[in-house]
Amino acid sequence: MNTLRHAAFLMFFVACTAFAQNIRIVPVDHNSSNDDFGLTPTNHGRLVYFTSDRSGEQQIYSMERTSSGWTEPDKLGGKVNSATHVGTCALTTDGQYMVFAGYEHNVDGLGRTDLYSATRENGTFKNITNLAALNSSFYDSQPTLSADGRTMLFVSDRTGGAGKTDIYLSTWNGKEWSTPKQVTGINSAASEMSPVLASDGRTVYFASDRQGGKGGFDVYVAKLSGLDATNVRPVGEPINTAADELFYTSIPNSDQAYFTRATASGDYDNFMAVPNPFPSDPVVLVEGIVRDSVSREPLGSAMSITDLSTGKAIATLHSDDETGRYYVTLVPGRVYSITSSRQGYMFHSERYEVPPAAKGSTVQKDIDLIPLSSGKTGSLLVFFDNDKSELKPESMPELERVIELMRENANISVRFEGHTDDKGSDDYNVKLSERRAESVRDYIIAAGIERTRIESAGYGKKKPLSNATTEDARALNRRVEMRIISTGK
Amino acid sequence: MKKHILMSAMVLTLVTGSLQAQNEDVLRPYGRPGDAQQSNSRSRSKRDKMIIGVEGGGLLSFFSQTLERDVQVTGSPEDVLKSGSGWGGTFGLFFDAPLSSSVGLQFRVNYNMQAFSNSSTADTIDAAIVGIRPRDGEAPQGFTTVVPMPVQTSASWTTNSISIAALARIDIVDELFLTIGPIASIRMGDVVRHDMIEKTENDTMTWISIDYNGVAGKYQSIHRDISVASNILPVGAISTSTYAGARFGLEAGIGYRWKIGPSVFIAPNVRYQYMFSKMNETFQSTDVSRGNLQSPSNITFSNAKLNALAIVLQVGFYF
Repeated sequence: MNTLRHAAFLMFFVACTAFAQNIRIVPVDHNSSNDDFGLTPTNHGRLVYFTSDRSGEQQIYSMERTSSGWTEPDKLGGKVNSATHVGTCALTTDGQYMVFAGYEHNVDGLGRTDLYSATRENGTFKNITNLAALNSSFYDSQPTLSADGRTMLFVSDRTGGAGKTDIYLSTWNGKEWSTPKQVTGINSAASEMSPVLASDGRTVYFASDRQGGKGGFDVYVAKLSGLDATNVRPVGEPINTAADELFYTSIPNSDQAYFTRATASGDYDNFMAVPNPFPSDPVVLVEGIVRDSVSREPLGSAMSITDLSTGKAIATLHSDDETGRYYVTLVPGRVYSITSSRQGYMFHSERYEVPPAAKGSTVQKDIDLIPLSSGKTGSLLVFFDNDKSELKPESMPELERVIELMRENANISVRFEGHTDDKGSDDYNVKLSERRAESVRDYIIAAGIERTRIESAGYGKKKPLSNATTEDARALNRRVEMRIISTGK
Repeated sequence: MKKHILMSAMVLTLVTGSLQAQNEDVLRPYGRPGDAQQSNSRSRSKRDKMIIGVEGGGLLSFFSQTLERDVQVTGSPEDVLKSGSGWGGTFGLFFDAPLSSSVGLQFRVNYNMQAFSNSSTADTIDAAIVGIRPRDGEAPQGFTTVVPMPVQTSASWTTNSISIAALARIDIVDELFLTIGPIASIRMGDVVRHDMIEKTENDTMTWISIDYNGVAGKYQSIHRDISVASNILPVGAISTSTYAGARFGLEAGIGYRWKIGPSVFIAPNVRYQYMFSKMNETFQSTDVSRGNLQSPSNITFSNAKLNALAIVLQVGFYF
């Protein structure tokens, strides 16, 4: 029995050693002789932001990953870097909303280092705002955002904490950030730093100089559920060494991770670990380009992702003003609607089902926005039971968008056009499609939109989008469309 | 004087120099290890916002001087000159130049209107000094009878000045800050003292028989305004001293900044101004208030000090 135990232990030891030895630690390109830390990927890893004091003060830089390697670091323009020290930024998956820390920023704060937000407009981060609901008069820094941008972790040394610096959590309710609370199970009497919430929304990495580590700050990993962190454990060697290790960041659906380590020369540098010994759970990465359906020009647009099973908006994002690109991370096994809207365009809504087996995949989903003046039609994401014309409750968010569009564009007139699949008689389908279009029309009129601006019509199965007879094709053909029949000009 | 100015400068230098060490950044809440010893080749935290502002508020003045007598007498009106206090006003401009994240140099110029006074209702003077009025139908009795006569005495000072302060500003925690440093006060115009002696008993037997100009009469009260330091009685061996044109001292204060806009704050501020310089030089006078029933008393007036507590509201603008 003892021999078996020894053999098992030996195998385990060998396996661990081999595992450890197989992890390669390589410096990320463009580290300087000064501090470079907190590498934060966005746009599904194609673009990273990091902090460096290569110019004397801590500032935020970005660089892109191309087929030929990383581009030269580019200091952020605009006024984000207008402070004595700026850095440790976090971005939403779409790269359009940034939270960062600023010490003595030109936009006044509440005390020492504070958290700020900025939004990207035409390639520059603007609208710099002090996140007063999160900040204290103490040190508030090192934010990290969940993939949906609705949960933030950050570090503070405010009074009432467990140690020198602790990790706090706040959630976004669509209007404001909640009062920060300490994450339980993660904070100690030592200093906790550099939390990074992975794209799965559950895995959290952080650094701590608590007792029992390899020395200095070591990286730990835990699972987060609400305010509770469980299964806290160090990531071990070769990530953790006697030097400081911080800002461990798992690249989604990848075997790579970034982290920051203190070097022998005393500065911090960014490194990559391959393979990532503690990857986060795989997710579905959805990306695409929003374009003008007529000119094909890329468009910046407001976008929202709604979980259709709950009707709750789970993420708001923005396609880039210059490239039209958007990026979003979704959890498999759910049905979503993706909506894109922009002034002067008919909004676009699309049902998107992410099968459980889609874990770890990247999906391309481009969106064409129809100019109001084009006279084209766009499908509405409205739902009816089989053979019925009563609107199902999950149709309401889409109908509210129609109402908002008509209120914002008081001169336009629209026609709702109903269509069916190829099952059943022509006469029956025409009547069913008419009733469904009328249901939409009546809902809009009931909301106060003038009757004279709205028409409805039913075309039955005369105008299919697909001539195939598969279930998918039939589902595509069963629809209510909205056509702009007059722009009032 | 030079010693005091030197001391103030040393305090200013020590305080500003010792508190530049902590250089917080976005990664290190408490600065780099050993930051105080490191050279400036590393990134150095340097607040880049200067402050300019205005302030206004009250100035509570505290005057005191030493009266030393060769003969002790009781209830003398001269004793009101020992001290005085009272509220005035101050308003000014300030400029704050940061030296580090928590330390700055603050320069301030104020116009001060100080007023302080003292009074006593229990003083007594010998009526022989002021005379006794004859009863109706009787012949005047002259000044041979001496009786004690209760009087009320008061002295009220007003003085305006411009003060210039060079202060170290130290942010202790958050927006709470201390200021400490030398201050100079330059007198603007005369120090005016209003003296008053008034009978307190409504009898028909006694009166004050001489005013401050030496004019005989039958006075219920006498008043004067003078602009030199002097004793208070209208008679006696009078000597005076002129008031100092400039005085020097040390100011220490505490304040709290409340941001009320992106670049604007208000800061309630309390500070004490201790002046090393005397308000006037030593002078001597003879107290004859109880010269008949007790004894004349020679007084040496010395060590006249005027300190102040300022309670002001500052409005500052970052730029």
